[in-house]
Amino acid sequence: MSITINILLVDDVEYSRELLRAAILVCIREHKTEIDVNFFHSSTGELIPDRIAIHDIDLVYLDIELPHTSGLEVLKQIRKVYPEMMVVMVSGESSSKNVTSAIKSGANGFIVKPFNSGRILDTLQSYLKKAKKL
Amino acid sequence: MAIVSWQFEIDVLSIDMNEERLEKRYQRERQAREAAESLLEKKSLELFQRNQELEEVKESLEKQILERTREAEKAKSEAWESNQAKSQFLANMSHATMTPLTAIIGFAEVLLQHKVSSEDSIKYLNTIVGSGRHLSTLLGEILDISKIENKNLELQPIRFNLPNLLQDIEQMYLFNCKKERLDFVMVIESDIPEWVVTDPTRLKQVLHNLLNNAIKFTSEGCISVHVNFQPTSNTLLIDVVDTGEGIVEEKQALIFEYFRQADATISSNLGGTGVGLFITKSLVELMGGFVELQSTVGRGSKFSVSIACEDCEGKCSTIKARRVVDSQSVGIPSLVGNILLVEDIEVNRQLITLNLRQTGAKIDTAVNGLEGLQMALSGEYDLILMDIQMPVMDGKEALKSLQQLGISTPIYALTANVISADIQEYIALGFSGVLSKPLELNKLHSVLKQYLRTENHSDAEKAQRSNLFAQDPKIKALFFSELSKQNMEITENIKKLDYAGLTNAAHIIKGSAETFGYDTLTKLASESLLLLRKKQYEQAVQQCTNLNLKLAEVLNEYND
Repeated sequence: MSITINILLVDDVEYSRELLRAAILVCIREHKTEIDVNFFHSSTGELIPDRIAIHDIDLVYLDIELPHTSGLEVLKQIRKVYPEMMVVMVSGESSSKNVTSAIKSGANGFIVKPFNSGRILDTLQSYLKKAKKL
Repeated sequence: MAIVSWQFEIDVLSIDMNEERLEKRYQRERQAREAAESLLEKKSLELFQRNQELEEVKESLEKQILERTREAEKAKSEAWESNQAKSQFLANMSHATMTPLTAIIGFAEVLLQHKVSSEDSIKYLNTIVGSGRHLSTLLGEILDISKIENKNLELQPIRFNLPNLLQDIEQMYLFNCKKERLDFVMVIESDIPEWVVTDPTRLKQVLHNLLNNAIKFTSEGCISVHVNFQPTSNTLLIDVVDTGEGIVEEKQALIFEYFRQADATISSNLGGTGVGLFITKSLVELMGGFVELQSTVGRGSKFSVSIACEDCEGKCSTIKARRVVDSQSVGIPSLVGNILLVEDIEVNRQLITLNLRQTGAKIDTAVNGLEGLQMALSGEYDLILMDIQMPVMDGKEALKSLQQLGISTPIYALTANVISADIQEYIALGFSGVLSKPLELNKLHSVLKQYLRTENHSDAEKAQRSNLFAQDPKIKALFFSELSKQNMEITENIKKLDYAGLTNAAHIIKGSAETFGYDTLTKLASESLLLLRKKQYEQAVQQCTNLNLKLAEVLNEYND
């Protein structure tokens, strides 16, 4: 039985979004995870809670280094409306400040560029675990 | 005359009246006095009784005071005695810990400063390892004693295979006795159960204590162990017999009290602390049994231990053929994989890294939980070894954070804390297991073998794992189209001296070139970024030009 999940990728760089999208697909294929994915994109951190509602999003990959509204700020906005939404932070560097603020703000995952398959797979699997519980 | 007689009559009358009044008054006064006297008597009786009572109270108080004083004196002398004993114990312990420490420091210094032949250095290193292990046992014993004293010692009963445990002991002491030129024999009766429930670690500790003791006090002859089982009471009976010097009768009871070895000089001669038998006795009693001693001076001693077991199952009528150990050499496995070691103390970090590297595994290190967390997020590790007590972020906190972020990498706790309650807590928190410091190499190796790959079939698998993304044609195409885009961007931005644009381009290249094995690109991009951030623009533009040249080269290769 496969499940379909709607993933929202938030990153201002198109290439990064595409790369992450491809990486997620490779992980799903290589590990025979029974997931079908629909991808949705946003190049800014504006109105993310609204987008989540419109596209019925299950899982958000959120870049930390966004222009204007930072990813951590967006995470806080999401948490206000969707305390249970699974949000994975994406960053070019796992600086201690980024990591600790992400944890404090309730991030459910943290992946660092360049992407490695183990970490991306971890995020998918913790989503599946979470979904099973609900 | 008539007047006279009248007058006389009156006189008589007046005398009569006077007398009557006087009599009345007398009577009244007498009554009053009698009443007063009886009151007085009553009161003085009461007073007397009160006095008597007070006297009694006073006496009993005095008696109590005497009693209390005596009690206080007794308590004082007991406290003094126990204080003396503790001081003696501390002195023994300091001495006992100082001896191996001196050896460790001394031999290590010799190895550091002098040119030592490799043969000698092995000898010295063995002494250092031996002393370290001895020290670790000692500290374990001190911990045990403090738990016994505070009634905090808890058993961890589990179901385990009794013959296997006994055979492990047998193998070990066949070896240990051989080293001391003693014979060793273990007789296991065929009716002992195969499975029992009790605390196997503590049972082993009891046997180790008795056997080490036997070896220590036996200069020649034989050590034997006899294992029997009483099915009616589910009691395991173990005798440890030696042909040593024996213990005189007066001192037989004393040897079970801690810090009271039969001979005070023994501890300095044989390096013991005199706590082993105290711990043994306490453990056995905790396990619902007792220890008995029979000994004859000059002929040897027999320690008999009984232990109550629960849920005994099966019969081990066929005890496997006795195996003989030739040596206890530690075979180092050849492994492939990545390990992250998180440990704040540098000496420990170096030592553990050394031990890990010998297996062929790749090791990264972090100095606190936060740094470990950061590295675990960006790297791909097969196993994380995590110290518990660390500054900035401790091991438990780091584990919690990794769990929140859904990292599936197995994490082992490294701890000097050998209390089993803590170990259980770590497991409950989500650690995959616990390794106690100082690390025992065979335990470390067995953990590593569980999570890392053996060398033979690893290469192909490893290549596949690390290049999962690099091999995907779609990702590759995406990467190169982005490279060519950034190639143009950099050319443009160098012309325009648009530093923000250059930063952006370098950032994107740095973020993915490594995945595809273009280490030079990653390096050039990182250097450019650093210069741009420092606002050293002249050098930055130079470096970006280098980056762009390399970029063009890579693109040309790809298009060919």
